[in-house]
This record gives sequence, structure tokens and C-alpha cells, in this order.
Amino acid sequence: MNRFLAAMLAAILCVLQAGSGMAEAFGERNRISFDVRVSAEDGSSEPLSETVIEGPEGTDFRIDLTTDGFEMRSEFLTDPLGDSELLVRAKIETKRAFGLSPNGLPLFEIDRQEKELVVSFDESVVLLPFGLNGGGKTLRIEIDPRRQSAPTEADAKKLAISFNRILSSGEIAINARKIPHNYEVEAAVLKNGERLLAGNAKALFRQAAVVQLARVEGASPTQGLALGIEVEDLLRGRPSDQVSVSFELKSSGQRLITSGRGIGEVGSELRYPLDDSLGEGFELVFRIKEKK
Amino acid sequence: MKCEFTKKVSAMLDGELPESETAALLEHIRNCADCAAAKADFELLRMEIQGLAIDERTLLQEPSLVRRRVLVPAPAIAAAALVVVVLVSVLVVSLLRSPEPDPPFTRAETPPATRGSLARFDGGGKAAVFKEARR
Repeated sequence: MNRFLAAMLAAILCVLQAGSGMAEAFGERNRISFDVRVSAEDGSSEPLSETVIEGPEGTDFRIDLTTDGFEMRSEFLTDPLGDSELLVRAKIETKRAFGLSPNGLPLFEIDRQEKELVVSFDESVVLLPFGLNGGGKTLRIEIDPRRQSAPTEADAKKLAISFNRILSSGEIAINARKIPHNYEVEAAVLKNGERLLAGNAKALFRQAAVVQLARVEGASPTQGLALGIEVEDLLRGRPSDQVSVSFELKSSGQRLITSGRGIGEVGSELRYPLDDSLGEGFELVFRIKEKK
Repeated sequence: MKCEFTKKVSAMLDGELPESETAALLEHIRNCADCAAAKADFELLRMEIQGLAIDERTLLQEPSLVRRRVLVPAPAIAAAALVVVVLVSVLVVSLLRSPEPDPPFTRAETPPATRGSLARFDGGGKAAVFKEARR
């Protein structure tokens, strides 16, 4: 009996693996869509606008709102977490006209907030640009992520936005883009061109990563350093894309480089001399590579 | 006062009788006790009246009283009153017009939301983002 159950289980696993392999063989690729619905939470059932964003996994989108005396800029970076969940990193900036200073200059209330949400595909992300408004009527933006599949790889890469119901006042703008989110940072400290310390680490787009730089075999003993680095933006270009980064180099609490910044082609080396901190001939070299 | 000439005594003292009649009346008064008494009474009365007139002139010529009347004429008083009224009016108006000290910051009047403007939902709250079970 036990052997029969084991055989059945093995058969089921084989079928599942074969199904997955067949999907790959037929070229099905995962896609994602976001239904963005703007509504007045005051009992009125008709949504003010409806938009569908479709794209490959990792599609990011922005929802901006500009109205009388108020602006909101929101960015949503999305990354799949397995098959059933999604990491949503939301960054929201609001700017509200407050009044005038004693000198007659305009004053604004400015708020910035960032939030990470792990969202399953039966949940919604809710954005309230004006807040809860004390239980009164407020503006509600619901974002429903959905899994989709595309028959071919070319179809899976397509990015599309469908404006099914448009707010005629033009106060809401929605756009989307797909850029790589996963990078690998390779870094080293050289002395007269010789690698003394080296290390690498994964880096997620717009999230700080730390590269521990350890002594390379055969190199003279040197204390370890840590490179804190963040890929801040990616600029599409030909023949290759460019990344802008911010970084700092630390040594046991001492900061050798603070507020470092750079921009370079993906995969190319960025070099910074360390003459002032470590001595003549020292330099920091790092490279940002896209992680497939 | 039974003599018929006594009533002419007052007219004589006032100089209202002709000289011939005055001379005849004076001759009569020398011999008429009633008229002589009447003449004395009238003269005393005239003296009292003149005394009062003297006192009044004396009072009118009192230096302090004269100076007061001369230095404060009615037009000057009126002008001074007018100036005071104007100054008080200006002071009252300036006090009424002087604004309250400005607060450090002033909240702008929210302009009326245009038709269809999403600003009608703005109650001044802070933006929020969260997840919830799909409706």
C-alpha cells in the first residue's frame, strides 16, 4: 500500500513537472497587470477613472495627481515573490499649498513616505491621496494586481496601458515602465593596480546594499572595508543603459568616502581615488552588472 | 406826600423840566416839607443807583476779568474746539483702522473647487497607502 502511494505521488510530481515543462515548451511567459480604479469613497458607485497596466513581471508604474493647491507623486516598484505574492515598494510625495509667509512667499506642506507591502493576488493596494479625511468622503485609488500569461516571449515583454475610463479634467496621470531591478555589484580596493580587497553583493533597484570588501588571497594584510551602494536610477540608452549610483565607503566606523555619486554604463568600471583617505596609489573600483 | 409838586421832583432831578419851572420848583421845595423829603429820597435813590453803576464799572475794569475776555475770544475757542475734534477723530479712526499683528503664517483661503476638481476631496489629510482584501 505504501509503495502504491509512493508511486502515485511520484507520478503526480512527474505530471506537474511535465506540465511546467510543456508550458515552457509552448512559450508561455508570466506577465502581470494592475487594474487602477479611482473612485470617490462617498457612496457613489461609478468609478471616476479606470486604467489597466499590463507588462512583464517587475513592471513599475507611477500615479500622479495634480489639482487645485495639491500635488501627489507616487511611484510603485514591483517585484514578484514566488508565484503568489508581490513585493510592492511605494514612494509617495505630496505637496499642498498652505498659504503665505509674513514676507508674502508661498508656503507648502510637503510629505514624503515610503512603504513596502507584500501583496497576494487576491488583495488590493489602496492609495488615499488625501488620507482618510476623518471618515468623510475621500478619493480612493485601488490597485489590483493580477497574474497573466503570454504565449510568446515577445508578447510577454509588451508594455501596455489601457485607459478604459478617463477623468476628463486630466488631474490624474498614470505611466509605467519596465527596467531591470536586480543588479550585482562587484567592488575592489586596489593599490598601484593590485587588488587588495574585493567583494560582491546583490543590489535591488533603489534599495541600499552593502558590499563587504575582504582581503584577497596573497595580498598584504589590510583591514576590511564596506561599500554601501544604491542604484538610484537607470537611464535607457544606446549602445547600453546607464546607471546612476550613490555610495559611501566605510572602515570600522570611519567613513572614507561620504556622499559619493556616479553614473556610468551598465557593466563598466567606475574608479575613485583614495589618496586622501588610505594613501597614494589606493583607489576604489566597482562595476554594476544587471543580474539576469 | 400830599403836595401836588412832589411828582415833578423826580423829573427835575432827571433834568427833564425847563429851567424856569425848575427854579420855581426849587423855591417851592424850600418851603414844602413833603417835596423836600421827596427830593431827598430821590437823590438818595439816585446815589444808590450810581453806586451800583460805579461798582459795575469797577468790576468790568478788573484786570483779570478784562484779560480773560480779551485773550480768549469766541473764534479762537471755536477754532481750538475744531482742532480738538479733528485730532480726536483722527485718533479714533487710526485706532479703528490699525490691524491686528500678523500671525507668523497665514493659511490661504481655499479657492472654490472647480466642477469636477478632485480638490473637493482634500480635507487636509495625510496620504496613506495600505493593502486590504480585494472587494
